[in-house]
Amino acid sequence: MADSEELNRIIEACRQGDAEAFAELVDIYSQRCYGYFYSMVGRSDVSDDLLSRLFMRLVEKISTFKGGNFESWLFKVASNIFHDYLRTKQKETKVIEARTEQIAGISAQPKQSDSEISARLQRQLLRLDSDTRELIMLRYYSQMSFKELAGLRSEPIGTVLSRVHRGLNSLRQAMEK
Amino acid sequence: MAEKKEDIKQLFEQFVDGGDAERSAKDIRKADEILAQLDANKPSDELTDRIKTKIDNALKNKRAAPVRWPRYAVAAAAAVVIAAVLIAASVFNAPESRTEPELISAAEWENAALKDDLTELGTLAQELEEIRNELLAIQSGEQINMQSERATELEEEMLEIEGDFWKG
Repeated sequence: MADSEELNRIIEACRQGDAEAFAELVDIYSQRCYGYFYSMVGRSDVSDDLLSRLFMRLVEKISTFKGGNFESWLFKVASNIFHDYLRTKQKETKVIEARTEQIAGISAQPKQSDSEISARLQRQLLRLDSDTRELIMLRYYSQMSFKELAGLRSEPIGTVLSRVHRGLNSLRQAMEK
Repeated sequence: MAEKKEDIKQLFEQFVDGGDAERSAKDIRKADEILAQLDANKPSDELTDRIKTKIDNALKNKRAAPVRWPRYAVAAAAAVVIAAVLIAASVFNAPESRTEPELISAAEWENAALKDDLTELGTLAQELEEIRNELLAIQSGEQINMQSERATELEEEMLEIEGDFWKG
């Protein structure tokens, strides 16, 4: 992972329209952003598309980044893209159904997840409500603090803490069975 | 993956007592360890290469595209122009209270011309009166020795002056 000085240099070069700098951003963040998308939609084809959309939006929006925590900003953009996707699909339940089917077939797709534990985790994540799942995934992949998550969701920090704790607890208990 | 810098226990302590805060923080740390199993989900190299190519193309298109003013900028510029025109119109069409000290008003100008005309008229009338008196004197025999040609000459002169007067 790039240190903050190196990251600032890359971001500044991106602002100048440097394709090489954008390529570096892709190298640094594509895995985490993909992980976030995949954990939310459970489909590799959709995750591929969302990741692509994310970086294309970065090309448009990088000039609006006014400093601060770049990763928080990046995952806010990623979260917006995910919600745009949900709106396009109209009904979240349909996405979840699609995820269920996809996750059921994960063992047949070793390319995305070669561990049974990961497949189980995906199944358990699926059982969480969408908001809690997104909070957990954002926190995990973006490394946002609880305070930043609360700001992103416009919720009190106590609510976010309680939700994440409850969600992670049920996830952990299910995995320990 | 998750490198949390915040003190979770301290956060929980704002809402629950010390023992519960400790347990909750421990729950979260354990769950974070379990979540680390999700790291296996990665984008393919083909996908990242494709994204880089798309970015490259988008940047080239962006450079090639002519600079376009955003709509809001165009709207703002139009609003400024319209406001400037309205202000100018209201200023130039406002009822004027200003004076023009350098200029002579029309009435004054006409008065001055009239005065000049009256002076001229006065002079002409005076000349006419003198000639008339002279003529009357001749006719009344005050100047007996004056030749008749002179009388005729004076009469003609008087008629000429009268004609000039009416011609203006």
